[in-house]
Amino acid sequence: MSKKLTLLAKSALAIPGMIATAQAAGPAGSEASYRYTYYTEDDSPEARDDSGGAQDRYKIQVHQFHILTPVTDKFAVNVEASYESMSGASPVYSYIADGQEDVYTHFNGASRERRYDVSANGRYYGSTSDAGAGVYASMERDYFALNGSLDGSIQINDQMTTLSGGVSAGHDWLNPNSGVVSDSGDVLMVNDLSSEELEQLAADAPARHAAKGKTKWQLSVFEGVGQIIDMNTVVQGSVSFTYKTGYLSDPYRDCVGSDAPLADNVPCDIRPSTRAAGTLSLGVRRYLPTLNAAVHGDYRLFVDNWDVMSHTLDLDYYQNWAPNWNFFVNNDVNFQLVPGVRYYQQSQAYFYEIPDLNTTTGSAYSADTTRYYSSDPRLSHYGAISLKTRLKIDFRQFSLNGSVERYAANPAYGFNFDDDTPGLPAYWRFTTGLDFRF
Amino acid sequence: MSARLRSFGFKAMGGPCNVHLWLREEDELTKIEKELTDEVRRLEAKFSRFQPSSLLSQINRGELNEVSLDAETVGLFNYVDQCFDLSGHMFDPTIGSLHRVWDFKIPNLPDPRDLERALQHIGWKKVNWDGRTVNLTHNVQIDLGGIVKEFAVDRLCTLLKEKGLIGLVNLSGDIAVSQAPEDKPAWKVAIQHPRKAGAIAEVDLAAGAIAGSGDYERFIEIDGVRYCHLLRPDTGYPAPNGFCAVSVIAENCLLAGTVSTVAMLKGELGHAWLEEMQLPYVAFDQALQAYSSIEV
Repeated sequence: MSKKLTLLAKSALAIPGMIATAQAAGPAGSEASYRYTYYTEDDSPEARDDSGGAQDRYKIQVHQFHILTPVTDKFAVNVEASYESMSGASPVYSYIADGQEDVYTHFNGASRERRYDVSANGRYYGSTSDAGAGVYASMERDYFALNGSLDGSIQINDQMTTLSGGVSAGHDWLNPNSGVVSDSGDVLMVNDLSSEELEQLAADAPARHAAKGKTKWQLSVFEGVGQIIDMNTVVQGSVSFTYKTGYLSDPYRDCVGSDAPLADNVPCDIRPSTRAAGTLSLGVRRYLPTLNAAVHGDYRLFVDNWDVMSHTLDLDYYQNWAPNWNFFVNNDVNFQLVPGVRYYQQSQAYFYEIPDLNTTTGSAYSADTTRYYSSDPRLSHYGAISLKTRLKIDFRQFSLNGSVERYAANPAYGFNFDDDTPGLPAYWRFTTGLDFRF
Repeated sequence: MSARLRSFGFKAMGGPCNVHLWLREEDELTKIEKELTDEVRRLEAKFSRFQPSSLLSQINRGELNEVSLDAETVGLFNYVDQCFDLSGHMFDPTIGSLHRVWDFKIPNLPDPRDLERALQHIGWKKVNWDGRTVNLTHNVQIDLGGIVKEFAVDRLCTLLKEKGLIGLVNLSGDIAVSQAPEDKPAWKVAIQHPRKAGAIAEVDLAAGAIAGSGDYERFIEIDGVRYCHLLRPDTGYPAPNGFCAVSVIAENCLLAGTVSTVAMLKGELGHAWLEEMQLPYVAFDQALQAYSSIEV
């Protein structure tokens, strides 16, 4: 289709009443897709890794499958499944060693894990509304999560305004890896340990022991509104509230080695058993007809009762290109290149602190962390910058996708020039995949 | 339950309208007929430039300058704006002042001074469309006659689709179908001969729409030269050396009508425009030589 015809056809179809609402609602055809993602974190910082050398951090490979198929003209089913394999070292505690000023991070040894995810949802499409219900399950050796959701949207005001809302609930079961190796060489899970082994685990890895048989619940609600301003501009806003309760600590956060001075004063990872969080999201999509491009801008505010407040800014530029190639036949190839940038900044949780084990201070902490405590870098005051580019090529009923993303997190990016957080990751993520419509 | 082909007709937007429907026994023809005619009357009452109470007349009188317009009008004006740009400013709904100086009932060309004055009131940009409001200046007047009939055809066809009905809508030769008829793979649609009564070609239409423009609808002939009612906004005259008739097939009638009208207005560049747009078309030049991208 020529560029001019594409623009004209889009303008015509944008006129309210041009499309049969009952017809336009549901997906017209089926779609199947596959995605492969390779995620690789930079090595641990050699100078701040207390093992004395750089270690391989997480590398993750993800295979995702997706199929969407209309069952009737008003009902469609969407099924997704993914398989992840992960390996690499991760930070388990941070501290300032006796006689030192810098923060050191202890990384655990390389681990290998697999995760299986599956989700299915059905969606009913009315003339100006839709409603969906879905279930999601995620399984690792040390974790099982089940989630259900309901959501819907309705278009009002001559279909210029879309109101949406939803609710989801989930339950997670934990069964951490104990680190204990059986006679046959298998690593045992906490739930599989004998009472003697559990006693030993309580002394060696109290966080893993504390997570035995623990679960957590999560409930989320969201409301959103989208408004078409004119044929080229859409604005969106939404709010959400999430409440979590149960075991919210990280069982794999270890304690500072017991031979370190003041180590007795340092617990492993004890987080509150409830977390309430709210988000406010605002977005604008502006189509630029003369450039056949679009700009998407999004802002997200996150606040919770752990005193974490974060701001996320996303800016993506969608450049479409339809070269209208005609060699032997009409090769209707369309390209879409999407460079983008994301900025993230968060404040620290009120119970986050790096223990200072200098014996001259007499106390590992400057604040009271007797109830709750964590040195998890994800709860620190930091910022992150992400640069990403995605390319999509449409040819007949196929779409080929590829993307690359570079992410780096650092306290200074979050305007925190006082702290040092060597456990924060930096990574590359590469994704490729194929969509097939039939 | 088998369906039967039923038809009804009425006059609207200055021409005859015919609707052919495959109806089951339980379908109520009277109710459907009323709903479709009501929709055409609604659009006529809203966008007629002759009815003083129409929305368009209010806009043309400047009463709605800088007032947010309703979503349907916004959609149509956005479409016009796009057509104006993509057609190289050939598609311009402000050429109404030219129709006051051209009289196709008498074989006289307009006075050049009158034409010059009329051209000063033409120009879509003088409407100052900002995507939501207008601010008419230079005594400019909007005439949506070039798209409202086609839009009405699409609206009726959309109503048929929403009811799951198989049908064909024909409003003064602009045609759309909701889907292929029950008894054949496609509807047979005749294309008007540009120089005499009857058809010059026939096309199969299983889905979408066909719309045409030609120099045979309203014209005068002076010294063997035909001057038709399709007037260019830049010269005030019809395009010389162009097609005498163009029919275009598209997914909707609005698109088909716009592309065929612009092909007529572009004159000798009309053929290149049709090729560029890549829509199925049938066109005839002044010697009635056929140019076609499809089998007819």
